[in-house]
Amino acid sequence: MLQGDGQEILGVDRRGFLELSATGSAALSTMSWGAVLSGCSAGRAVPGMKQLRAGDVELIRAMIPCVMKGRRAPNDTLAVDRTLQSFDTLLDDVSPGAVDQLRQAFDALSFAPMRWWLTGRWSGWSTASGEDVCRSLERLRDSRFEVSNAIYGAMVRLVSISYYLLPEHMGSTGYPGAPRKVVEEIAPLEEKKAAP
Amino acid sequence: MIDLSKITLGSRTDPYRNAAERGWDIVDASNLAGSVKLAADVVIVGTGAGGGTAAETLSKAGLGVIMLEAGPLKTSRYFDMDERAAYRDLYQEGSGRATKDGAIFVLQGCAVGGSTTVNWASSFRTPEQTLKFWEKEMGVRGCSPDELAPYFASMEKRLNIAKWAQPPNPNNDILRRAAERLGYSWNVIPRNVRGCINIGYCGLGCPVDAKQSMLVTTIPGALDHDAKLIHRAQVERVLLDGDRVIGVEALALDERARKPTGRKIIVRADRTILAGGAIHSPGILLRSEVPDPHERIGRRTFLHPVATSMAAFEERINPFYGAPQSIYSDHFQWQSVSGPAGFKLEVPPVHPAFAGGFFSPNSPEQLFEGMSNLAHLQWMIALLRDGFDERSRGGVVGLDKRNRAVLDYPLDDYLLEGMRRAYGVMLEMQFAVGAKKARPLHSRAPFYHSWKEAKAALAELDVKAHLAAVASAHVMGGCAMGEDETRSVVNSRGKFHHLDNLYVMDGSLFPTSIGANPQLSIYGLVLKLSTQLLS
Repeated sequence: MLQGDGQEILGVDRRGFLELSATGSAALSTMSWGAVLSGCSAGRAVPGMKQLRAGDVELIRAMIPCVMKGRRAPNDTLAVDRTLQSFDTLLDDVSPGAVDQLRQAFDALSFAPMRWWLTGRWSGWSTASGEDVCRSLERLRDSRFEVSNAIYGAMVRLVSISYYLLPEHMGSTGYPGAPRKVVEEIAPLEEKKAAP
Repeated sequence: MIDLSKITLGSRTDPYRNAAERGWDIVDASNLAGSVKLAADVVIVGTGAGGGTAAETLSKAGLGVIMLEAGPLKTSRYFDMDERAAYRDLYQEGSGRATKDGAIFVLQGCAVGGSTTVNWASSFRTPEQTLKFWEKEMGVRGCSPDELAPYFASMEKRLNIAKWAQPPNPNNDILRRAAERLGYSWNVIPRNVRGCINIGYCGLGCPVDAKQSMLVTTIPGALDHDAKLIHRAQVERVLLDGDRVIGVEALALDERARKPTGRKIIVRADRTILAGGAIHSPGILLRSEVPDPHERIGRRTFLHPVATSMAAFEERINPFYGAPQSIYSDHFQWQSVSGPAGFKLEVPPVHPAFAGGFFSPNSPEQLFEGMSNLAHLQWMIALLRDGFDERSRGGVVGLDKRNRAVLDYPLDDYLLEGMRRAYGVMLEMQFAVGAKKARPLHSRAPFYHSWKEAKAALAELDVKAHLAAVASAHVMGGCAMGEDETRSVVNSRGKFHHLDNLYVMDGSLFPTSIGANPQLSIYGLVLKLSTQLLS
């Protein structure tokens, strides 16, 4: 399936999130994303999550300690768990269209042949060392293929936002916080019934 | 050290707190028990800059107005300056909106008041160069600077627009000092605020109702004149009867304003005004399958694509505090009207999650070190003026597999060249006033420690989509106005070319980008168009 230039499997039938631009791509195959990725990392959110599927959880758990490596304790499991929950909430908060786009990035990294082509790693993320994950991210960043750069950008951005949305991490930026808001109780807005 | 977390704000300025006493007719569509059918003189889709202005103008003239807003009604008692809640509840797609290939992040409002509820209060009249270009090159009539002047003046008065009189915050002051140092022109930004306390949370909803958004000005004005507001109501299509439009069909959404509940809202009206903003107004027309013989709907959608540079200073900058935008430079904006992309220089407000999202780190170490130092980071933005040159044709709005509007706007060589040039300008400015290190928001960019180093590195930097962080806070066009129907969607009075009783009155009217933050352009133009509608 992956002969020579791995870009052959990244054919798409119309321009979309992970479609390559004309200037960057080699010959595109006739296989569509849907055909490549159907059945992979499929399914519902895992218990305790609103959006993240089993494959997503494995992926994001691996990514978090790498993206937040600069911290003194990147493997602090509480921080990883909290960031994972924050990530799940973030996905639940954006539109289904946005989630569709982002899931393409997750699925690409969860599907072994694609993962291998993108990062050089065949085995799943649960067996990856911290070094393995960081090396994979670097490879995505440094690739000449836009699809790889797009996946790097999405993973780093989402983990970073998830991390810094948590109140316990905001202060680490030197941001003292917002004013306190006090709301006086009022009667609920009376709504006129819409006339039939 | 300034620490705003020590101050407390109340909620007594919220004009909606006594909505019932004021007799305001407000319906939350998520509470509807069944579908409803309504009738009005005018139905207005969207309550942003265009919708609010039109609603107030028409309801004050005695017309029966119904406003439909897909977003929720969130008022200042709700605005607790929390990033997660604001991005989730006040922005299009929960802040997840992006162009089709994911390369440009699009910030637009989705709530009563539209983008005016979450914008940064910068108010500029449409540049004369832009108006003249529309007249000369884009077949627009009646929009000369002289013809629009009284409408701008009226909205400036209505929204208390005036040059910001307080000292700029450090983030803005760096821009001012750098412009002075290098001999670039600069000026103070006019803002639509009244009683602003200079804390800088405009983008998360003004907690003290100082920002004169549509939420606290024209929408209350319309409600005071018996307009009806239905929120969490997403218009799917306009309704046709032969070659006239007779109203709209909307879906009631749930409490989160995301999923349809199954209830419908049908509004029959003599006149239908689309003010859903660029992206949604073309989207509604596409879903309605209205006549489009020259395939103009959705085309020429522009973004003022933003390139960003960050710089670390010895002194505290606190980019998260203070009126977000108070200084601008147009030095590089109008060197030629068409030609290589011009750009406007400003600064953004930067709170932690926003910073984390746009940082585009070269490495995890750089991310954490930079974010730990956020209080010392100055951020500068260049907004590219797209749509004036032949090579800059903008993006196209289409419908995705869920039948939702999506903007396809590729980052082409014309824009990438403009971004590279803008990076150079901004980095030179930041180093000229003492930056210790600086970098463009680009995944392959380390921090540079001098302008000399930055300049050399920029020449080698691969400036392209997905590596450079690119955003847009100004979506314009897609329902261009003009007299030539082969190049426009509506005429110079905002009337849809191919059907009667259908108008567009929002930022999707613009035939090119504006070349300035667009809210006042929308206010002035829509005041004119809605006033004309009365005659």
